[in-house]
Amino acid sequence: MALGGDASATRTADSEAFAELLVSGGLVSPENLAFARQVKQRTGAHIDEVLISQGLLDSESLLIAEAHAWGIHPIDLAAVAFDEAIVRSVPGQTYLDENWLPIRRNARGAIVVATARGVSPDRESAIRTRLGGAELQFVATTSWEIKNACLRLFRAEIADEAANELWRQNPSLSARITFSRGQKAGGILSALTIIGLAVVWPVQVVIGVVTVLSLVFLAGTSCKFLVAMRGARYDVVERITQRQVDLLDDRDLPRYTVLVPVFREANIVGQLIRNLGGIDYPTEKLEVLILIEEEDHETRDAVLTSNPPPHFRIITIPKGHPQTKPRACNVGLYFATGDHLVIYDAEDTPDPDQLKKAVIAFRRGGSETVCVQASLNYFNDRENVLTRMFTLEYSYWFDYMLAGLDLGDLPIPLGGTSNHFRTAALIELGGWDPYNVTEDADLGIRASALGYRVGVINSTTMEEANTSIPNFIRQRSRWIKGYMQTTLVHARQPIALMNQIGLRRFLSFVLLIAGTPLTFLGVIPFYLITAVTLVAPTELVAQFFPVWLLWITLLNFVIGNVIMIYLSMMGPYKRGTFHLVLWALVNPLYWLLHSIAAYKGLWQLITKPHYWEKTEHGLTTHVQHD
Amino acid sequence: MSSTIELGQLRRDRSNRRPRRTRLDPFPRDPVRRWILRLALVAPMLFFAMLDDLSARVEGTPNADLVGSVGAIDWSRGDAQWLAELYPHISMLIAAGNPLGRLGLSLVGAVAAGFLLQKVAEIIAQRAIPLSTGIILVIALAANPLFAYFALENLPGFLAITFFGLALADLVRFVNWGNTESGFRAGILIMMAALSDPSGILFALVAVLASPFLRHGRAYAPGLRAANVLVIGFPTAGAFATIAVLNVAFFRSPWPGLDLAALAASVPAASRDVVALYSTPEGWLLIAAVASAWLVALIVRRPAAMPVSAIVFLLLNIGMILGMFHPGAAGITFTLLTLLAITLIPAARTPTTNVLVDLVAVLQIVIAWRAAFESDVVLEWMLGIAAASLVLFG
Repeated sequence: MALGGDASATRTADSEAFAELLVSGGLVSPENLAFARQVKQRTGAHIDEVLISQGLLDSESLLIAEAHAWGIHPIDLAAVAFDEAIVRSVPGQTYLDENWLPIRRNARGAIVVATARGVSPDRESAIRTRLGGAELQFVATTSWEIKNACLRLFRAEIADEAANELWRQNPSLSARITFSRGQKAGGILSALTIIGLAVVWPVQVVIGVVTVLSLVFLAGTSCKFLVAMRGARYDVVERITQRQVDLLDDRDLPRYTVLVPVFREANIVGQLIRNLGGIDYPTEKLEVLILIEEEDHETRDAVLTSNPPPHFRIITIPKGHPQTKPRACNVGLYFATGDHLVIYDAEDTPDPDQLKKAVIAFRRGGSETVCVQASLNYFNDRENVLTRMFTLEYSYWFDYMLAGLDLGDLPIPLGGTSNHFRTAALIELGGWDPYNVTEDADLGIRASALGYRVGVINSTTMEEANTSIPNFIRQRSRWIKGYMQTTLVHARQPIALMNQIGLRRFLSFVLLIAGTPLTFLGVIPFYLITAVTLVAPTELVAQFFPVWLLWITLLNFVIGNVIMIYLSMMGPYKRGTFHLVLWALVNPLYWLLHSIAAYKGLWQLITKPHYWEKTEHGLTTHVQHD
Repeated sequence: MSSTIELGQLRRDRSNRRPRRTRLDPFPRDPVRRWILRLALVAPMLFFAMLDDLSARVEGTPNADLVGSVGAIDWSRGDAQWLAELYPHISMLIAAGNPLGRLGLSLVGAVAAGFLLQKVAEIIAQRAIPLSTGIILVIALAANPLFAYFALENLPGFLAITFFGLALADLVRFVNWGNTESGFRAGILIMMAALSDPSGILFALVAVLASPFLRHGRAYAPGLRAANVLVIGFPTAGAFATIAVLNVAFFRSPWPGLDLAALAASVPAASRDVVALYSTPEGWLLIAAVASAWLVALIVRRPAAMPVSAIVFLLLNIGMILGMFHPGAAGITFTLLTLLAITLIPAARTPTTNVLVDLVAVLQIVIAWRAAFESDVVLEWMLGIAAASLVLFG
């Protein structure tokens, strides 16, 4: 048993004597204590957690009171000098799990140990054993102080673990190496073969490549359409009803961690705190960890000055490479205490009951369900053409495609935010791959490959749609590059993957993950071929291509476009945003942007595979209304 | 807890993810029984197809012309002109890949009839129509020479009406019940109807024009009706636009086989023929079929279905004037209107309504048989079948 988990023996903060101490010391009013007891009765949280999370007691006062109750002195860990040799004699994760931390030897040779729990004889004995049998002197601190101290003391290790743990666990699942040796050899061999053939039979090779691309295009779009059609079967049915949410007993709710990675987003920090403050979940069981890069002082200052609620905490991400969102999330995962965990972006506004719906979904899904994905949609859909197209795309993807994949028990590439995890399973999966720039999609596929299940819930997080084309291209190039990385990672052992997940899921993976970048890469060449065919005399074209083959190839491409337009029309149906339906006709132009982004992504995959193209947020002039 | 119990729990939990289905259930729900029903419905049509093959074939039927058109295509031309002659693509490709000539087309028609009738049975089951009424409705639709001739001698037209019939059920589920999947499937099926026969283009127009008249099951939102129309019509429009673009690219004309001037020149004479039709018993029977559809609409208190039947009738006449129906075609109006009437019967009815629907269905049976005897081509076909039966059974 973890030492920190021995709550009955060590939670002085819950005893009546301690409660009276808080009142008699003037730290808490009798009314506030009565309120905390009510909340404890309802949610099962401890009195100190209630008081802190409700802002009725500050951490410093609690520390003083606890120290007094435990009969030891309080200490400010930010101001002490640690003996690194002693600290490093035990793994850092142990301190976080067990809520204690050695500081240094005192004048008597005893090791001074900071503890965030009361000191029972068992606890003292266990800690002494950990520290090699030395004499101990306890001082009181808080769990959060211990976490911050660990972050400082184990900065390099945490940074390294966040970046490389998955790589160490299983190099073949990490995108740290973009192309494996086999992929490089196969790629070079294929390229040489095609070039060789093209020298001898140039026209035939071009015909072959164009034909294959057109078939991939048609197969990719058709697959999406068929899956989305399946997802449309129950679009008007609420999977988790309001009644089921109402029936949840707060006492049974698990502890939840919300990770919010932010980077240079000082402009929307206020929005973040407002939006996440609206989540309907007992704050005593909720921790919001705002993950801020070490160098990003502006955002950190903005968070501090916006006076966040007590259950919001800042985690400073130690400098390291690659500087990506998944690396920050891995650091957050290191400090997360929730049984479940979710990621939101700074500008996200989740449905207030989203966490509760996720809890229900996890209970229904059984232990094999490792993650549930909520829908994403945009509040600024009417801002310009781009936001309309973006909303159409997200609507069909999250409301229909993911539902179809879920119904078909197919691998689900997770979307950037609002993915809820069982924390323990996420750790078992190796966390996020910091070298993959669509770490979310990769994690969904990895979970499937390892026999876990990813599901969806009928809850929505509203986001800000990209309003500017350059910003859009940057964002999409990253997404498409990430899909390429994910394809390369999971295609390292294609036969093994197929055996592991079955042919049906494998084909779904190929068409959705590998097919998507290929489809986008094919758009510009096919537009050009169509334009040339329309302009050039048929006789001229016929000299190079058999007319019937070119006709069928272009038919595949145009029909593929028609299917995608039609698929986009499906998007608005679930939410009744019918004003968007006609905009689906603009899809071919929207795809042109995707294609440009795909070529940029391909170039970056070769030149700087781990580079994180940052998407600017807070560009919208629209305001979200409830 | 044992692992067996855990697995059981897991299975139960998984099944809970799927909402209980009622109105969307296929009929019969068991796939094996569904296939048995289809085969049972296909069997008599296959029998008639074999008899048809033994008879002295009626010339000038749509299937005869389809076989001729496919035979006339020069597939080896370097300029791929045949690509411009492929319309209606689905029927032409079936005919091109069929080694059995007219018999093969009849067999495909028989199978399509089985699927169509199973779908009709499904619509009847989903609306909780009593078994007796359901049987009468199916007999009214299918147990007559018009239907058999249509299925066995006019594959393009029958495929178009089969796809349209399948689409109708989805269309109603989409508009009335707000089922999105059905709407998008309806759009695809209507496109397939339009790519099976020129009459399918009319059916697509029927669907597009009729959908605003259907009662909408979704909460009102601006643009809902327009969106529904777009969803229903877009695949057809998209398919024809695609073909037109490719035709322009390769053959410098959106529709190389289409002579608009000749078509316009034929309109006055065709209009006179259509007007003349309604002074004959054959024409009166067409009007009787429309009247029956209106009667059903009134009985089931769906007056909005009356303009739908009227639109269908109007478009069918326009189709006749524009030459969209093969001269040897028969039974299209009857089959289409009967299908529409069945599709629009609501789930909520009184016993009196059921009896009245039964009466109209019986009237339809009479109309169908009378119309069959009024049509020269169907009559000739029936005589051929009768002669073949005599030969076969002595």
